Amino acid sequence: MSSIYKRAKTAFIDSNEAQDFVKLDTNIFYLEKLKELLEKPFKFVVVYGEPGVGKTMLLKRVVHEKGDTKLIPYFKPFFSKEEMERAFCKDLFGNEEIDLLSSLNTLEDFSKTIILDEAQLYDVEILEFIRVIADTKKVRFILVMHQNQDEELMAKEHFKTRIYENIAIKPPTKKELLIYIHKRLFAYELVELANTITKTQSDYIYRFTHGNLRLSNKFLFTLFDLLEYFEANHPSLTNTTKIDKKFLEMSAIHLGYIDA
Amino acid sequence: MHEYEELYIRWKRYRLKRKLLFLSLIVLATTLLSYLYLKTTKPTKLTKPKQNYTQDILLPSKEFEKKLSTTLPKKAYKKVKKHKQHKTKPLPKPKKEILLTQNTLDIESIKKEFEKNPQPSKALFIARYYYDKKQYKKSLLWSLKANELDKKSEESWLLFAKSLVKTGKRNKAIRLLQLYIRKSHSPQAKILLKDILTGAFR
Repeated sequence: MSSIYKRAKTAFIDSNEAQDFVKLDTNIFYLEKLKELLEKPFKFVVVYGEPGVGKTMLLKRVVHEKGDTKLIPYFKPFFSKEEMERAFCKDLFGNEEIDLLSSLNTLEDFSKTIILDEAQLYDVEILEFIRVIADTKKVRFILVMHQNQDEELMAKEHFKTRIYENIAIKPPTKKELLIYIHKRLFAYELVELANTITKTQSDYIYRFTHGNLRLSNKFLFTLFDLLEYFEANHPSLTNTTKIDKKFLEMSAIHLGYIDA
Repeated sequence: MHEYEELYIRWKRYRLKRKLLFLSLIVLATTLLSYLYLKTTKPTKLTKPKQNYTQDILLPSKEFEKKLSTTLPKKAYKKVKKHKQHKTKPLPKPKKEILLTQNTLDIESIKKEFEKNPQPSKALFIARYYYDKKQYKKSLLWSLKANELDKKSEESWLLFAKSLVKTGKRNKAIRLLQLYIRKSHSPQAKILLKDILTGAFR
């Protein structure tokens, strides 16, 4: 049983890999929406939401599903305009040393889409640089940013007239969280364990994480880590047929959701 | 100690706190509810009965009396009557006493009058009174007195004979009546003799 809990833990290691993307009703909607938008002529699309809601994974999934070279994602932020410029030159033209703005004219209109994650971190100088590139209509941008940051407001203000669409990513509902947990466990062939997770237990987790996938992953990882430990050291406290509420409560205490 | 061991101890403390909180909430809720219950029920006990008491008692009792005379079925009426008799059973005692005292006073006054002025009618009245009251020895005595004063008084003979029967002197009563019939040929005496002989009069 402890090996099952060990595998379950790995199912909830927080990764933003495209293959870990779990298709939920809302996720599918955002995924299809972004795929549709890629067929349209835009300068900027802004994807925003709370940290940990699944924005990065969604964009990685888009890139994974589209599978073409027109999409150039940057999931790590740049810390200077020069660094960004070099990266764009390399990825667009295969040469870091060329002049970017003059080289862009050689491209077809909206032939390349650059995805910039953590766009809320960029200052005015970098934002202005991005705007200039977008105005050439050769390259367009999908900006991914946090919802509740001042930077987000600054970026949105900066590109206000050029933003084609804002996509607000909402956390999964209670029902979706249960589906998410089940699907993640199914993906790791832990069907029996998935069946022991009830809606009540999922709702209990939702109470603390509000559906935030990063926080939910952390909660579930802690839960299975606890189960693994107690299965090995205090087997009498665990039940093979169901997950006792005490482990959920202990997870909540351990993560600081409950002050005990 | 492993951090999860400590966590388990923390969890046990947490559960204990929860249980205590739950219990204290139940106690608090019960206290509050019982207080509210007492608070809401007390005033009604004080106010309502005062108002309703008079209304409930006075109004229906009037109607009840009216209904008694008009609408009560015969059977129910009989039952009430029986009940009344049963209830008044202890009452006859004072009634009897009153009657007796009145009657005794009357009888005594008649007796006094009889002593002052002996008349067969007075003696016969007293004899009749005692016979009706089933005091047969006294009726025997007073009918004899009446007979001594007036040998022709048929009633004194008949009352004497009846009193004899009632005191268990049936044969003496028969001989007395046979003697009287021989002298007077009284049809009343014959009927009485016949009744005594046949057992119709005991």
